[in-house]
Amino acid sequence: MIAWTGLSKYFLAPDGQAIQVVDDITLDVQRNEFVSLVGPSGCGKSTLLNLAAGLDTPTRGTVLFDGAALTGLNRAVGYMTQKDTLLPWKTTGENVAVPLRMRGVPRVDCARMVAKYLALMGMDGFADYYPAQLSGGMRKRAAIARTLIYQPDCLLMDEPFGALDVQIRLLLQRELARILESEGGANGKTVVFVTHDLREAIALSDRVVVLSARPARIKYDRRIPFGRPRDPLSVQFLPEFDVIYKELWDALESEVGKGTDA
Amino acid sequence: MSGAAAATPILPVNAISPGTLRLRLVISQLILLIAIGLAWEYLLAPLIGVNWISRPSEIYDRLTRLIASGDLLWHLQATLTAAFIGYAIGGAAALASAFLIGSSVAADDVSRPFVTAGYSFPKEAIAPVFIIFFGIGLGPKIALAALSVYFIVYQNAIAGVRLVDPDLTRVMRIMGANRVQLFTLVIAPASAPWIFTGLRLAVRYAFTAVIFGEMLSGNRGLGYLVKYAANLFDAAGVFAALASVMLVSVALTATLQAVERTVGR
Repeated sequence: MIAWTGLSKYFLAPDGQAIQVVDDITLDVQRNEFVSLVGPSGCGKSTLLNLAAGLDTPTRGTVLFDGAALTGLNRAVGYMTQKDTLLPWKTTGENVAVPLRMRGVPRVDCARMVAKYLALMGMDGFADYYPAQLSGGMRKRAAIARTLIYQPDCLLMDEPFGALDVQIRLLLQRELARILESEGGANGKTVVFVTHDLREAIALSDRVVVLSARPARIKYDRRIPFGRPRDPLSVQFLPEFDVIYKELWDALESEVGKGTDA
Repeated sequence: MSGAAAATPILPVNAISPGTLRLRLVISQLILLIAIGLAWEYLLAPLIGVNWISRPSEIYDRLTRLIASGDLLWHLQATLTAAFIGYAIGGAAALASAFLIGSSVAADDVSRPFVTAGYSFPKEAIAPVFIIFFGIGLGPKIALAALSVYFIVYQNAIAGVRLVDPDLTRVMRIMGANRVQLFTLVIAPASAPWIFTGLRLAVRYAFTAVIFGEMLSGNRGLGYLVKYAANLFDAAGVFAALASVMLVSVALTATLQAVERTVGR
């Protein structure tokens, strides 16, 4: 569904030097696959995601989305970052309705959909709250509801749970897995998930790709054998989990601290 | 003392109700005003000379006559009309151009030094040019007010536009926002606090510009009133005109605060 092919990306540093962040990456994410990208900070994970969203253009190579080369913004995806990016001047309900209103969906249908997706995220009764009145976890739930409501086939998530505390984070991982599985078949959506958290990556994904320190190359590509539906919390207690963790950590360890800004 | 009163928490013995506190404040301020008036009337005026600084009784007398004759209203009308039209033109132009230029980083970067030059330029210096362009009626005053208002509102609005969280616009664009939706959903509400600051400051700028313009040319307006009296070495007339300027500016500020209270979230 998403294919980065022969992709390299350079950025211009303020001192005029070209910095390579991505080095000749070829990676193919299948439809309905949940792939996590892990790597040391500053390695170019987010750049790969932004390239898939069409927010940035590759220096060399192409990004194929659904078989066609991306030109311009990719509006077929849902995009989430570490920040919840809710509009602070709109209520939770209005925020969740934003993508539908943009598409000209009538107000009554919006209200029905908003109620449905807020309920899905366990947020009944919070429609009239402003984001500032919600906890970080609640805001994140609202942001997920807002992304799911326009039913994109593909989600690009850049450390979506990075700013949350551990308990909330575990809960939201479980919710995310549940919702993705309920949204159509075994795993109704294609997800590219960027994280530094190896446990989170293994627990949620069908496949984990370890990237090297900058410039990013594919260091290791591991299929995760846990089936679906799956509970990302309880899989962490399986003996196999630790084996995979060790394997991926060995690949990652040598890269951590290599980056110039680590 | 009813039974219900006993149930409410008892105030400390020395607690003062807000009403009493406010009354005390107003009385203190009145005392200060009267003290200044008395000192001026009986100390400063005899000491410095009535011909230089006049005296409150005379100024008050002149002011009431200005009001009674309708002269003050006639001048006030000209000043407020010019200030209002200039404010509206300058403010609207500033908002339109800030949103337009703010939508392109390149346009913002290219225009920045020119805007800074315009912003720091003392607008009053250009007044003679406006007199050449627009004559000595309301025209040059409106133009000067509009120019003064333009830069202060523009600078604030563009600062607000620049500070819009890029993650917010990015997410909205991927969600499908077009340019108009991006503006109404994100850019306008996000920059609103900065815009209001600019619009508030601009009221004083418009008023000042018009008063200055009236001092320079024409035969109407509060600025003209001050200058005319000064030319006659009429101290009471000057201070009566200045007092009316002060009353109008206090009234404008109060109106503005009332508007902000109703508009503000």
